[in-house]
Amino acid sequence: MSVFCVVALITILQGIAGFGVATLCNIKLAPRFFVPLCFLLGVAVFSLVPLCMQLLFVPFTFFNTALALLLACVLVNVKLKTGINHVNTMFSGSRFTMRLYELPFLLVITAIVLISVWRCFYLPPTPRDITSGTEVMAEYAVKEKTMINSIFTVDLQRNNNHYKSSFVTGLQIIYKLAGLPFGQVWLSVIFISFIVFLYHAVCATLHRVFAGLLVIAFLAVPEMYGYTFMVLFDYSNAVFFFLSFYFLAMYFEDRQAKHLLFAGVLMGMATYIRSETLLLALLTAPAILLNQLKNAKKWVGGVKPILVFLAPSGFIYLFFMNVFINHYMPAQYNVGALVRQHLYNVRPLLNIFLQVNSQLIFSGDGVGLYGWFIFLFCALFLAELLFVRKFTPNARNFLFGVLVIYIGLPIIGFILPIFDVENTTKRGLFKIFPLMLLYMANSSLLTGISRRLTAWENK
Amino acid sequence: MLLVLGVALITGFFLLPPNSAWLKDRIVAYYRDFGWQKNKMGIEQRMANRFLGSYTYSKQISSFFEQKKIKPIATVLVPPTDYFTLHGIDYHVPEPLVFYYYTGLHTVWPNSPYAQNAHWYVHVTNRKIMIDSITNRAAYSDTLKALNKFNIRL
Repeated sequence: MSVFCVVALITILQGIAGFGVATLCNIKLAPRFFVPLCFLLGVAVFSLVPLCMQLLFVPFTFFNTALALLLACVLVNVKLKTGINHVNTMFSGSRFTMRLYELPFLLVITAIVLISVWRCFYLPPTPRDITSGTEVMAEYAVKEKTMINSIFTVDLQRNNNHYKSSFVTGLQIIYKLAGLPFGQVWLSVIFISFIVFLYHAVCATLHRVFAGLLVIAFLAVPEMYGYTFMVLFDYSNAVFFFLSFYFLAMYFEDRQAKHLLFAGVLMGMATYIRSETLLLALLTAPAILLNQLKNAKKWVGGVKPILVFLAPSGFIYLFFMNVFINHYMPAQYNVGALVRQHLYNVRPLLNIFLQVNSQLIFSGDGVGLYGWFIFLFCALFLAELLFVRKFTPNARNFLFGVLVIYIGLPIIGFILPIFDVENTTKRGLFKIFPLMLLYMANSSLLTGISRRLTAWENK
Repeated sequence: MLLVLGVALITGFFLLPPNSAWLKDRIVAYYRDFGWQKNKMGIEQRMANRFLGSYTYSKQISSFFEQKKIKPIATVLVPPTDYFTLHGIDYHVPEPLVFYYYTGLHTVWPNSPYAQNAHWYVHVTNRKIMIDSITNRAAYSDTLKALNKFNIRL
């Protein structure tokens, strides 16, 4: 019971912190989107608190950390009054509805989510990348009150995992200090909030029968589901990458600068979690340029939105890799040494691209890893291409996101050979699934059928 | 009508081969695991259940130093996994940082530049894990040479 109370308290604080960030960025959404978004943003804010404490040499005692978290909640809520007014407007204009036929879907989704939450709480962090990196750092940070601790006295040859993002380390420190020996439960907060957000995003365009089925299909992507209770960087990275694209699509639609900036901030968070996301952010830039060109009819103006979008990612990358890792942590990390030599020879790029397709996507192993989800996407895409021959603007946006991942991951693998197909690309592909889901939710075929079903239902 | 359609769609989805396997091998199996997991809440039990021999053998090695009260200053050479397999012991040897996470003990691989600094070494005699202090440096160098013939698997 006490553990439940502790988790509930931290989660509420995360909600408050996320609310502050959303208010600061002037993000206004319906409650069904806004509430899960606040929790996701709150987890992001909390992950940065131990990093800031470390930079200021504040020891990780229970008192210091609790105080720092409360302070963070207060600091990001400087526009509390505006936020409360917004919430009042938001909730007064919305009402919760649920149809009876949603129930079987929601029950299945709940059953799938609950067992993930249990395993997340019960099992210790398992992946080697974590136990030989951020988890051991967090464990000894709690014991020795600093991230620069005795793990640096251990033989670290053949290991670069302690250089990885302190996103996981920070959250693990908070949850371990709160009395959860394996930390990890923050991943369930991300998972649940993300599924709630996705469900409503799909429901916004599709009939709830299709929405329920598609979300179940998304949850049943075997490899991705496994990482909803095994802490690693990729699931969280996929969530923030998706959110960035979601708000970028919103910017393309309404041209409000706040949505572009918010998309940039979320991409920055994704880059903080996995630094190579910066390359994917760069690959996203042409979409912004095209959109700018379409609307403003000039190239020059297109540079500014690109800079707004990329600046948070660039800043976080430079700060974390160059300042925190190389000038603060006791061991040096030479990223340059990881870059492939002879980048002008693109044959390996082609090989990696073919390998990703033949091993991970269009193969028996691929079905084992990702189920039928990719094939469902491909079938719908082809059907739309052949029979409708027109994509809705939103479907185009998410298709572009799918393309960024599809070609971006092999490019990253080409530039950084350490980014292998069997492990890193396999998990990197998690980013493609929510984008595929939202493409399907916006496809004119499914939305057309949904409209007919709704019309029949309302007769 | 839509309720029936919903149930039919969910049933159909989980009848597809990879989905039914996922449901059976993951979700249903996880709920079955929950039955016994909820009665085994000890941290050591949970660690041992998750990491199996990798954890239990590492703790066994570490407890030797705890009993002798020499743990903080000991650096221990642990042979690679293949060495233990050859001697009939199913022990996936964790790398030094993971070993440190499990036990708080400093270990080194035989191929490490720090292997020469080890004070103790682990070996197998009569299918039992033994720990000895390094007294004869020449003999220890031979041991290192022999152990370096084994591949190190992470």
